[in-house]
Amino acid sequence: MSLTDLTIAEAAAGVAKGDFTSAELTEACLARIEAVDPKLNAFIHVEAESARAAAAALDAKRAKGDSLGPLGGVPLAHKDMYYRAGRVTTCGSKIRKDFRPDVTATALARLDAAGAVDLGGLNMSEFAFGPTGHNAHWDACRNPWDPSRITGGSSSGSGSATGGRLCFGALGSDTGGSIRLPAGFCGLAGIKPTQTRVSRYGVMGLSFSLDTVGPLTRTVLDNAMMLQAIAGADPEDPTAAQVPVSDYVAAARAPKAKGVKVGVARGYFEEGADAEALAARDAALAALVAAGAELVEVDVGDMDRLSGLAVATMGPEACTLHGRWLRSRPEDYGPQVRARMEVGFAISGVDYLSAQQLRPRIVADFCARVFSVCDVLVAPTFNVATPEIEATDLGAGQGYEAMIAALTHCTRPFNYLTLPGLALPTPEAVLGMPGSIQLVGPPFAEARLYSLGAAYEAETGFSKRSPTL
Amino acid sequence: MSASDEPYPGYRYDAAGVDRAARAVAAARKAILGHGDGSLFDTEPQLIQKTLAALAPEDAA
Repeated sequence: MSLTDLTIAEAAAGVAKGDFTSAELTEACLARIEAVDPKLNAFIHVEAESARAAAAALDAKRAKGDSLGPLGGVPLAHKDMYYRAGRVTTCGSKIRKDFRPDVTATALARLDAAGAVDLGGLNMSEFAFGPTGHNAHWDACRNPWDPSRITGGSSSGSGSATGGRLCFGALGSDTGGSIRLPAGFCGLAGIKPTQTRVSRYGVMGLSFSLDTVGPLTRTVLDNAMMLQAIAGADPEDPTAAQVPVSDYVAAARAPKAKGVKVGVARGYFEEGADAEALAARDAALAALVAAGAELVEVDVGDMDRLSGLAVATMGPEACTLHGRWLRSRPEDYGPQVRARMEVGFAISGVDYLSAQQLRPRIVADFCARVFSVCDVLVAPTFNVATPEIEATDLGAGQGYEAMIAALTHCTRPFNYLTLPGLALPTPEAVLGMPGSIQLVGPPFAEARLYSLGAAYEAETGFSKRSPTL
Repeated sequence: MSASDEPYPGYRYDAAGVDRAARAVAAARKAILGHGDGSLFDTEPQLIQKTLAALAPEDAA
């Protein structure tokens, strides 16, 4: 077994016990990156020198008898939109290819404080705006389970690098599915926490009402460990929630499905679905029952409307951030990103604010409807087979809108609803590729998702599977 | 010149862009008007934080 096959929990424990050093973990990852990344294109930049220096400092700290923190010595890598002062952060774009921020993201600072090593910046959809993993400037990221197929996006490198064992875990961001989709397509656990659960200070914005920071990992416990390190209020981000942070790690270490009412969302989530994807979903439901959960059917209401409200929210916010560049250097955007983004100019102020001001009412109505009859809702993360990169390389050409709508069909409504969603692999593959379900809970119920997710993981053993590269 | 021709100062849609924007606006308005007939009087965007905190279950902290 290679060091890169360890989980975050195992790697941190091994460093703490002295079984191996952070330097050894880091060198194992760097060797894996050199060997495998040419097939995956998961990294935009590898920061070998600073990673080695950080690992050496952590090993020296441990040699003095100091504690390294819960992620002590473990190499991670992150979507290239998390700012680190002085280091290039491309945002997956041509426009920011030389951008060096002068601040460090709170999420990165908190991972540093927890003892993690940062291996570099990961590929992503341009400006986090795309669900496939294509990138007009940095080339497509490739799926470790089959490099001819998409990773999902926009956190494409986060899915590919973590799934391919190039790093132990990664931060992504989720505005319409951008953590859950690559986690799903790459066979990983990925959480979109409640919107505002994690500080967005020093994180490239796309749509401040929808953007959510979260981790992609191989196991539920690893996911809980990363979220534990980054969640919570932040004086640098006044929008970060003040609600106390739960003990996610304790929840993940205490798997619980027995007595949990799991609501099954059908209807909307089965529209346009491939039969194989629904069969994989059904196998996941059977695993939840085998673990002790009770299934109940849930009417989730009109989910189509939520996608329209999400577009009315995201469009003006993205155009406000990008307006001047769209005007002055439109040719520096990929054609699909520009075509999708520019529609936001047309949403009126009244329509935008109507979508914003309806939101509390709609979230409350949804929670009353759904979480009065179940503890956790389950739905597919995506309901189609993993497409090939070439077949979905449509730019702004014919069929791209339908393709994007199909891929984000199951994830986007939950961004408008703000709710936490934990994507987990299905026990059965979908035409040879990982399938995925998402467990969705009430606001700030991430711990509930982790305890149920851990029980599901124990039942299915999904984290024991790994791709061959 | 109408706002649909130049939706942002110095930025113009092409024909496909006009069509895409019209469809996005229509979908947004359908969604907005589709949610009941209640007034939005006495609402503001910041209420979402209060709503989320109120909806957090007991096991959330």
